[in-house]
Amino acid sequence: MKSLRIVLLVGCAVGLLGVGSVTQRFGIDVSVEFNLDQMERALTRELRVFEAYADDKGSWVYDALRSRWGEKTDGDIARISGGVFVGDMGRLWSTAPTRVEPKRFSTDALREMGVQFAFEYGMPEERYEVSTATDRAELMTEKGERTNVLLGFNVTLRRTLDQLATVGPGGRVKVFLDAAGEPAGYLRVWRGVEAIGNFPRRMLEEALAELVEDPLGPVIASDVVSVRVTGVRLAYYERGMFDAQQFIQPVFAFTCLAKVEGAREELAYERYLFALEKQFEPLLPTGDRLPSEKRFERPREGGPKTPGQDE
Amino acid sequence: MSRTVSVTLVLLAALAMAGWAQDGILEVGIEWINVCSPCGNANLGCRDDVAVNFYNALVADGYVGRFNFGNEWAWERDFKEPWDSTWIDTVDIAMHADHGNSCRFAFGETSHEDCRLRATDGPRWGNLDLEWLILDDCSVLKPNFEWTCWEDAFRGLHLICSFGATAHDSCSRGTHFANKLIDGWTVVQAWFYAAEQTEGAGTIASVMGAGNSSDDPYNDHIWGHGSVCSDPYPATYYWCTFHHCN
Repeated sequence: MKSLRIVLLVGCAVGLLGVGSVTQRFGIDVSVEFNLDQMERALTRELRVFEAYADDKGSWVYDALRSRWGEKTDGDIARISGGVFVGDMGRLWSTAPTRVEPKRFSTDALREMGVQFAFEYGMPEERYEVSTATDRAELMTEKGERTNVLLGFNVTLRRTLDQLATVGPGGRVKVFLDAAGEPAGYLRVWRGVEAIGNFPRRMLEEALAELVEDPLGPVIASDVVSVRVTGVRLAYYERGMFDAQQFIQPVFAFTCLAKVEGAREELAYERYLFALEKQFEPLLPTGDRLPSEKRFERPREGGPKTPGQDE
Repeated sequence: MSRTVSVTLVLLAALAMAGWAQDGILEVGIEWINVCSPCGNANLGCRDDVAVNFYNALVADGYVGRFNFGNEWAWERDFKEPWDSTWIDTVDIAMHADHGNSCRFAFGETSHEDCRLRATDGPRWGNLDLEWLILDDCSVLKPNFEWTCWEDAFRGLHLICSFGATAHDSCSRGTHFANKLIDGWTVVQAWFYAAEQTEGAGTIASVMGAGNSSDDPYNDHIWGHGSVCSDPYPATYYWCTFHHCN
């Protein structure tokens, strides 16, 4: 309760000044660099929740792409979500970094190629946003020469619900293009959705208090000295294709920049926290408690072990 | 009889030359930390799921499970000379799952060396057995050539799989990764696939490799599931490849 009071004080400071700071229990200094009151007023007060059901087009896409790409095609269909991953494994992520210069494409050209391919293979008639990203390798030669090599491209069509973007590993169709710009892989995690009603949003300040208490959440970054929370938006979180998900719920997506001990550049990440007063199911899948083995010291004398030595 | 023995010896010699698991046994080892707070990081819930499910899948496939050390039993010194020749360098494939950052990864206990394994600690991997090291930790292989901090650690090691930016404590990544390795995908393909299944925008999966004029592990499969190059040591070049999970 003590920490919450500290946080609320920060919230007041943020509301008045737009900037506040508090030190979290692992010594991470958290500062908020947006105007909380202004943002609280700007965000929608009620948000819809969607019930999710398995996508019924996944197996059709899988078969169609298998037919297109031939015998080296491999991938999965996840019954639980209807999600599908298909790749021509002779080309997808299979080009070793070399100095050979591949074709270059403009962002617009990549978008067009990816979107065209997505619609050729049953893109749902829903609203989406498109983004592109380039995969590359960095090569360091014996002489210390540094080279960048393009390896392929990613075109992602992310679902929007009520004009809010979907975040997480689901809610997207992704086309993987090889270095020549030819489609080599396809991911589709696009659960069917049906709105179940409007629900009141919780106060931004409350979510911010959670963030200050645990600024990294599931982010597996060490040695974070401080975190600047530079903004927040509303979004919907959709899980990956192998994870069960009954409800698609809105989240606060806080934009964070972490200062790391010994690093010059800040580490960018988004921290997702529930946006509604009522939680329909956990945002992320939870794990099991799995056992470790009892530790014992083994001899390390006598050079390399031989089969059976350390049984 | 003598002919059979001769053929067997020739085959064994050929396998040894090809680097067949160095000791003829396919082995896996893991270290994971859910209780991270003793070393200054927040506790996590799925580090065990990632590593143990990866381990169990490979053991079910026929790999010998050498060690599965969690929480206070996962020690930083297991990754350093000379202790690595008892632990991390005695297996073909190993996974560490905790927190990490540029050129370092974390542990959860403080009494066996310290809380971080840093590239500057001078680890030497692969001079005994290790081919593939999976570091399921944030930002260990950062772009813009920050990853080159690990070059000296490649002493026969083929690949390090990790991330070039932030990543999340996703419970199922180890399972996805192991399944595709067993299906015969390359290590690079399986790692990028596992990242795609568990991450969203902002995450960059990365794999670092060493190579020379005769060997490059980019298309390595794990033992028993496809081709594996000989140990690329001494290496004459290094690369790190980055895949965006946008």
